[in-house]
Amino acid sequence: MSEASAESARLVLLIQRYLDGAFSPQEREELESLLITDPRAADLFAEAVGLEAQLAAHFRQRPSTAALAEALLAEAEGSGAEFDSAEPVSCEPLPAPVASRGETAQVFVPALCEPRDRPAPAAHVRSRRWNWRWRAAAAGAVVAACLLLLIFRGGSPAGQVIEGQMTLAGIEGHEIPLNTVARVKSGPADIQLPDGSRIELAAGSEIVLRGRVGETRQVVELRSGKGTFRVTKADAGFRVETRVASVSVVGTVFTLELQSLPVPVEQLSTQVPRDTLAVTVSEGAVRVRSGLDSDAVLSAGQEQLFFGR
Amino acid sequence: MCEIIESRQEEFLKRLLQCDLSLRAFIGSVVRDPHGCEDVFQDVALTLWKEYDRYDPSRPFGAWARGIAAKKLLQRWNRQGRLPISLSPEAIQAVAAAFDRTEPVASDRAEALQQCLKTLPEKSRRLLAMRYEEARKLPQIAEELQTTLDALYQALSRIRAKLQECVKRRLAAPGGAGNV
Repeated sequence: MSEASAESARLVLLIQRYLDGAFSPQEREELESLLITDPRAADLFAEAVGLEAQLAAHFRQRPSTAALAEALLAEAEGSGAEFDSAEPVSCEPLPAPVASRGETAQVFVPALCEPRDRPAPAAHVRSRRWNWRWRAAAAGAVVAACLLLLIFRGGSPAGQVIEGQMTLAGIEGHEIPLNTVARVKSGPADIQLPDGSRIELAAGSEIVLRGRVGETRQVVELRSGKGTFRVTKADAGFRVETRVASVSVVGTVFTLELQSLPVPVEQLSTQVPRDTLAVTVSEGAVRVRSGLDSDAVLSAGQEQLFFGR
Repeated sequence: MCEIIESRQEEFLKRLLQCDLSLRAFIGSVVRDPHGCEDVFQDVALTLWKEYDRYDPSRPFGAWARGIAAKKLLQRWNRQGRLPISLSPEAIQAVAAAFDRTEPVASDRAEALQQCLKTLPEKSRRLLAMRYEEARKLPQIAEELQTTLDALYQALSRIRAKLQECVKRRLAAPGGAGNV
């Protein structure tokens, strides 16, 4: 094997190992160095990750974005492209762009970055015509916004808002899709999950429903605020993740409150804000795993404060 | 006024949707954790919409979007701990530039991939389905197929290399993706 082809084979190997997550720190450095110094290596890398994304999209039966966009926009223009969706979508236009910076509004996102432990999305392009006539009659912006929501929805909702008002991408919604930041507009809000578990969230709290992850039937990310989780009993576990700790349960009732509290720093004779998670267990038991402490098991009636880094 | 805003939205969405997959691929190439990748995409999509008034239509939208995504990734790199960024800032810039050079029309690439997948043996297609459709972890697949992890890495690597070569050939062929 010539030197050039050996180098090329090495590069391909490094890229593939990177894609499969079978990667040592030394290999990462080697790949990084090649990407920075050799544009051909970077091109090969871009093509490989592009193919990876295409494969993920293809195998999850997701219509190509361009095809979907063309189909819907063509329909809006009355040219009759064929498109089918598992269920109709109701939606509103997006807010207009704003010049101000630092806003915290969120946008729906599709679950397409990488393969995951989750069923395929429900939308398919099929040969049968689906009646989009009402949409064709609507304004172009409504169609466009529907497009965004269609693309950005991850199939059937991961949670239903039973009570209270929640916003998704700044728009009020009653169905929470997977992997979407949902914020309680006015609270408390009561959310029901597909397994019957319920989450009561305080006003201003933010969560992301991650759905099934591996052996865990439901993973919920509490981004901020306070939530009480009433978890139904089942064999597979239920986990709440926060930036301070993750809390795993099987069937129980517990409350989490994520806050940034001033904590004294002895050496500096001052206080600095630090993330804290207050865990209160009402029924059953939970296991709390934080980055700083070993696992803690809390039973009914117990309460403990955990600190982030 | 409303009509102007509506047509801006439509135009923005059309552009975003046309480069959506390559934008995700770019972010996913740097953020290997799927949840982290989605978080970054959310952030980028929102910023693109907010900044859309500044977009220069004479430039490719995909390159502009990746530029903003690269900035977001670098910000996260500086913060660290927020989520694992797999590549250094210099490597991120190099990859963004490579995407600008190599980005083919998404629909052409999808068509080419579809044709190339048909040429694979059934066993290879099954392996890809386990990996991408069923989203199984590699150790699980290795166990089910009663093979070693190393052998599985090699098999996947060979299949992807073959597909990549095939897609490239089809895209380069006169007449486009469906030919060859």
